[in-house]
Amino acid sequence: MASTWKGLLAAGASLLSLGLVSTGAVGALGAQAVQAAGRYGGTLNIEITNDPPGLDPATVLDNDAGYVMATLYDGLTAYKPGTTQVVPGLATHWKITNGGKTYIFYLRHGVTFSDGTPFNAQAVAQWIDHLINPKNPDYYAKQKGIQTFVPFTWGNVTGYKVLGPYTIEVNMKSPNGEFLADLAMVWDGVTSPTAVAKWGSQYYEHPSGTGPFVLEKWVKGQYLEVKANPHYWGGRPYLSSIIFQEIPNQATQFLALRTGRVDILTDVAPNEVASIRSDSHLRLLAEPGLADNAVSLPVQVKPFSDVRVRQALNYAVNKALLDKTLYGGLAQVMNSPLPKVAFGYDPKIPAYPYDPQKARQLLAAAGYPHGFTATMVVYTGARGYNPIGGQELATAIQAQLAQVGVKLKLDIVDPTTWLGMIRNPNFHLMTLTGWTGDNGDPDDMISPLFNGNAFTTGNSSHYNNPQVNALFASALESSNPAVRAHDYDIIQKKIMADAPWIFLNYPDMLRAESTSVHGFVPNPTYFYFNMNQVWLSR
Amino acid sequence: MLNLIVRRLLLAIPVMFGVLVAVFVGLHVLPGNVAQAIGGPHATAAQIALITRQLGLDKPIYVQFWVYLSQVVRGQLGTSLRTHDPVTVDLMQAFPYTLQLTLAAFVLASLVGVAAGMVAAVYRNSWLDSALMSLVLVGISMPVFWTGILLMLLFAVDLPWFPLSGVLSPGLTVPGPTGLPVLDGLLTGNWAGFGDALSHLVLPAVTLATYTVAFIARMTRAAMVEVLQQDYLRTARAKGLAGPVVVFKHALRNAALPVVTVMGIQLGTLLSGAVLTETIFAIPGLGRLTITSILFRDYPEVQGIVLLAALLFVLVNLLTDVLYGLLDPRIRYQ
Repeated sequence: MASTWKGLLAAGASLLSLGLVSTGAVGALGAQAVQAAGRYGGTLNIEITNDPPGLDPATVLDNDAGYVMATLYDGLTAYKPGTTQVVPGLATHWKITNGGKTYIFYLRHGVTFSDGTPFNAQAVAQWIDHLINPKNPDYYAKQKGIQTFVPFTWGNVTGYKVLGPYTIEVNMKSPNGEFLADLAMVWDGVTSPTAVAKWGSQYYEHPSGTGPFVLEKWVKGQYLEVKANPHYWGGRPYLSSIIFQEIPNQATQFLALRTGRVDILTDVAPNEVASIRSDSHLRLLAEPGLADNAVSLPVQVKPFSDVRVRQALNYAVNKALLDKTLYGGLAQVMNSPLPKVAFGYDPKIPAYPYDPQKARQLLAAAGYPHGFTATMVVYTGARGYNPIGGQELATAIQAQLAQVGVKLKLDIVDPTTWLGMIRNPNFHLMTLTGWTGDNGDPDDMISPLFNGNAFTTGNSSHYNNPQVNALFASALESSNPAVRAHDYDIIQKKIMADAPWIFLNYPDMLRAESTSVHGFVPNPTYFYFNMNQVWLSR
Repeated sequence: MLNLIVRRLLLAIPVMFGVLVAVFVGLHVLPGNVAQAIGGPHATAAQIALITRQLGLDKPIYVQFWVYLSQVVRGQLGTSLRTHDPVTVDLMQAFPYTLQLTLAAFVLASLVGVAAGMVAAVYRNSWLDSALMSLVLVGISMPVFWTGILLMLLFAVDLPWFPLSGVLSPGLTVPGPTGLPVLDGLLTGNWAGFGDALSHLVLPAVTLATYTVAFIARMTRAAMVEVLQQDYLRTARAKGLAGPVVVFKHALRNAALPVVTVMGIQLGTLLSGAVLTETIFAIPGLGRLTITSILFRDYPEVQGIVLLAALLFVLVNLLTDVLYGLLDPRIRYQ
């Protein structure tokens, strides 16, 4: 949301990069950082952009909400810190039977929701029921127009059975290979059924989970404070509390980190990286992200219906130069639609090298020796997968493609307009695009973008290859990692060859923190998981 | 006078209706489809169709407008698609912050602007006049976001005199009858709250006031220069009246009419300038709510905000006209 302002305020932000800012004294211990075990106490301040629309995992899809909810809730499964590898969460172990259509979860003992409700199979049954049963009085979708991930995870689930006080069975219509990865998502945090029933449509303001923190105070438009849950099953949090400070403007966000008003910066722009690196009180965290940054080509219409044209465009863009100049080296050239941290990523697939000569040859072979003119739709501002902003990237691509005779007209629109355009099933234009994965599973990462059978609104290129579609189906239906990895390997290679996108880069996931923060490990899903491990040395 | 006020308020109804039609049509012809925005990229066509039906977006636009209008005349502005709260609740939550910021900036701009304009006029063509008018030029030329960030760097980062952003320090609340933290702190004798709220208000208010100070100063100078050359002022001086009496009683009052007009218009500018100022300084007012709601295509919220803004403009215009009558006895409203 603030991304529009990111563009508008570029002038203000550039002030910072010009070095007009002198280094002020920032309250941090810096080099004296305590190396020993964590210290208890203290309040950690984290910057978020906007007021979350709600804190019910079933009815919001907002990043700012997700940042807070990751501290309040646990899923049946979880991600190993710093990865998207699935590990036990509220379920200590599980069994998959019936050809992948039945999951039996064995639940953790001695866990309580923040409202005092005991966590057990009965509670999980009630939680699942409110997600899948429209007759349930607390059915999640009773409110109109909610944003939700529930159909994504639970659309396939037909029912559940309580097998014991701490054992529950979940049944599905067909196997879903990414179900366990889904359950670890922040959007599948287990909510207290008692609290859901008590608050009804107001639950989104009265969240109750089993997480390391509990909502203490929510001053709308200003901040949210979460307090440590001393009985947390995963270990008592070091911090006493976390305050999520709402700061919509990019330049202000950065100054908030500089002045110590916040300890962790959620939104780091590439033009701030140099200032962060040169400040001894600050630390830049750059990790491979779960994100693709690309240009989508409308494969159903001319001239893009010719694969040679699409490949030519891939050869015509100097991706490495973009990474170096625009992204300050904080991005890597794409060699697969799957990012490096996703399950099944194949590092051996070659990326399209920069070869304008070959691009011209392919264009000539396709009947466009002098190139062609096309319109590219461009979003304003930065996005999770493109921290430098749409216009900046589009202008560079426009100049590079002009070298091989392809003239681009840029249609620059605000991000919401852009989303509305590309998600329209009748959209057939070139556009900047990208994707941020939700759970690290390859199905989530690329099926919405390239599966022609299950057309969702993410497939803006209208790519539809029956062979790839069949592989997507077989990979999803298997819960055998080796089988899935093999299927996704072929899928990656076919998509690269078919080139429905200009494959640009994988931007790093950027966070910045004060040097007094310890134990913070960013998760590739971007959310603030495992915050019970974080402590402060000031 | 009462007649005028009643008539103007009645006239506001068709104005508001026109505004409502314009906003409703405008929002609905924007290319971003709200159902698609809500559904997200995983949404299938069936899910989008469901959301479209739930929100009544499948009905013809005149039917949707009629449904909305019949709500509005009953005093209901609907429910926000983003916050799930009634629009009136969101507006009431945000409005006091914008009102506080706008009023502070307006008072500041009026006092400083009129004073600077008068000084420049009285000492016209002197170095003081040149200096003041150069400053005015700078003030008019500086965009709000630039002024804001510059002030932050100077007075919150390098010289940590004021808080960087926000309206109150975390953990602090200032309950009171008006909802304006500074005023509530003052009225309830909550001095800690008053001080904290005031220190948070200084930088954004100065930022927002900068342009208006400059504009008012320029107008005041022009009006004063004209009036100061009039015969009756020469007469006043010839009568032996002291300089300040001449300037304040005889000149300023006559120069006030164009200045009041400009101030009325500027109050509107301040309200719209609050959009940027609130974003830079993280103030949860109407301006920030506007941006968030437009980007989310939160139709009911945007319509509510525009309706409120239109009402405010009507009231400000009315206030300006009433002030005219009070300032200039020659103006009589029929």
